[in-house]
Amino acid sequence: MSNNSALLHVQDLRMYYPVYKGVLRKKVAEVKAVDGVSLQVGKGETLGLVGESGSGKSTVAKCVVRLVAPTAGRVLFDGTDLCQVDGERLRQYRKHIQMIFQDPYTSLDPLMKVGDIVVEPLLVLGILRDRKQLKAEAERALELVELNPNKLGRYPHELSGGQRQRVAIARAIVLKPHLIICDEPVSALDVFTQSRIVEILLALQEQFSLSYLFISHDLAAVRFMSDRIAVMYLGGLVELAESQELCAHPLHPYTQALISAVPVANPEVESSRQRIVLPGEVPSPLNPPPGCKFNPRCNYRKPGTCDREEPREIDLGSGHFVRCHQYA
Amino acid sequence: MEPVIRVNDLSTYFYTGAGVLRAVDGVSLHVDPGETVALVGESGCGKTVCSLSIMRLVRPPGRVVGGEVWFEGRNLLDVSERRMRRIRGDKIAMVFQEPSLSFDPVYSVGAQLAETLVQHKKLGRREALRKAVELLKMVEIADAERRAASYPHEFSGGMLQRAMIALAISCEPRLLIADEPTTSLDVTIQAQVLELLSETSQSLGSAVLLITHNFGIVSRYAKRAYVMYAGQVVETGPVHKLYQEPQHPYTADLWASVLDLDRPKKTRVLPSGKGISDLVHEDSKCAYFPLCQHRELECERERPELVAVDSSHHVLCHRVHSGGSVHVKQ
Repeated sequence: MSNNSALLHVQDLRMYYPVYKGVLRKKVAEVKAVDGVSLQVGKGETLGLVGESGSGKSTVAKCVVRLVAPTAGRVLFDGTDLCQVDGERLRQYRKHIQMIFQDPYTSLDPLMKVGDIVVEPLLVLGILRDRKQLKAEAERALELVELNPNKLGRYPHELSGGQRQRVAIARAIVLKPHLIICDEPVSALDVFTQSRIVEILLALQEQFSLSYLFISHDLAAVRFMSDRIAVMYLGGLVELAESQELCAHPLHPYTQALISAVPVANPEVESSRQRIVLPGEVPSPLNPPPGCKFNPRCNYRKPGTCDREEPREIDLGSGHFVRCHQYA
Repeated sequence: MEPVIRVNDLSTYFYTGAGVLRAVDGVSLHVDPGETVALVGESGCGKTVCSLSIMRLVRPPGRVVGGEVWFEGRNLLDVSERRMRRIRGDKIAMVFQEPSLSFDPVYSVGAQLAETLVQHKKLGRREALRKAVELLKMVEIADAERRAASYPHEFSGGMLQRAMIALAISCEPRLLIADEPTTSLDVTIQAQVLELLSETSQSLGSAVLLITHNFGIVSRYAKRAYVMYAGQVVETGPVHKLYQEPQHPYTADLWASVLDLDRPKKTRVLPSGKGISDLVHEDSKCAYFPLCQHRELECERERPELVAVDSSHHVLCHRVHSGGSVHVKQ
């Protein structure tokens, strides 16, 4: 998976959270939230990252924007390793990478007006100070997300969920970033609102040739947005391929189950689809199973191999990668 | 065949400071024995209030202001609270959206299952506990004996929702109302829980009213559906007809905007959805009028009435006349 022209290049990223116990707060274990993830996002590309809760997808996002410092690995942005820069230089990089969070009800400051929320990044980074210019920037940003500029003086609680998410997007694009990390941006929204937000994101991408890392548990939303999709399970990638290819020919048993678990709206298509129901639940990342982490729930488990050896990444050509012993 | 439940012209209003909010505005529906019917719509369309009204669980400032709910020869809106308590959880059971809020945190899961059986089936304490373990086994909870003594916080979300289903089916209800039963669960766990729900209801012969906003789930589990908008049923019919020949512009818009696995990446233009924040709407026009792409003069002047497209397919739209049909799918 190497390509030097990528805008974002995550190499063997690891994020281990220590677990402390007892009066002496002794470190007793580690949660391997992200355990060796490599991926890249090209210029103008959308990479979808799907996984269930606890798969580590949000931790990947936090590492990329350096909200946490990863345990190991590299996060190359435009060739610079973000794990090696600090302070003012890191702040300058933040200009280029912005983030949109899941819940627009909690990610916007309830005491700030929409106009101030949108231009705050410009003030913080000292890009603009002039009030008139700031207001013009805010208006322009709201227009881009199809929000009436009369909302500038409103407070977040006066807006609907979809409008708030637009404000969050406006705030993200005001710095003209190259990469936006979208962490479950449509999960809390309604059907209509979801498709509106997705359309706005696609239009902005076209206009500014933005790159997105689009993180969601909703495979349908990811499919709609992404050029390529990476599937995460318990801290590691299990499969990565072009969107169309991944949905049409999923190879990893987990991807297959994930796709079959999402019902499609067309009743005729739906009635002829295969249904794979996975037994059990995702194991605790505190105590992951040995070998392939998916093996306790896998229908194709080969005892002796799958529960002992960790599968390697297998390159099947044309950008399709899978980690499963079946294809070794 | 006599339906299990027949709701006629049900209305539930909320009397708020901002005016009267018509959460449910003249809804009629029925569910036949053994049938799974979906009640589908966006958040705020009134689908949950509708189910709470059927169960008589609406609290002030909300009030059921009109209509009938016929169940086993009785209008549930007229029976005494004492009788209603005997029906709830016994003949009509409910599976709620958030299982962690539906269980009492200070009693073990087994005890809560047993309590229902003691109340409704007049079982002895020990007998009820034994049955509770059996029910937990039925919903595939591993190590059920030990698990029955666990408290809700020791269960994962998916397990708790399965326990909730065990609770709901414990008295072999004639009607099961499942209100967004899997919304808070992970994708693969959703599939587990829904399969379990459909298997158990089938084996008991219970009818299911499935409330959801997920069209995929409607297509997978229901044969018939009611589409709700702003407190009204705007279209009802077999799911395949609603998909292939939607008559109401709202139904068509909904299908068109669903982010579906089946639909590849593309951009399309949708009504600039301002949603249904405005439930305090006027009586004198079609509720979907402000967003409708097919609106005509008539739509603003008069409230439409439910028209039969054919015997199983009804729609609330001025553009459709009895027996006729309009092509609205884009």
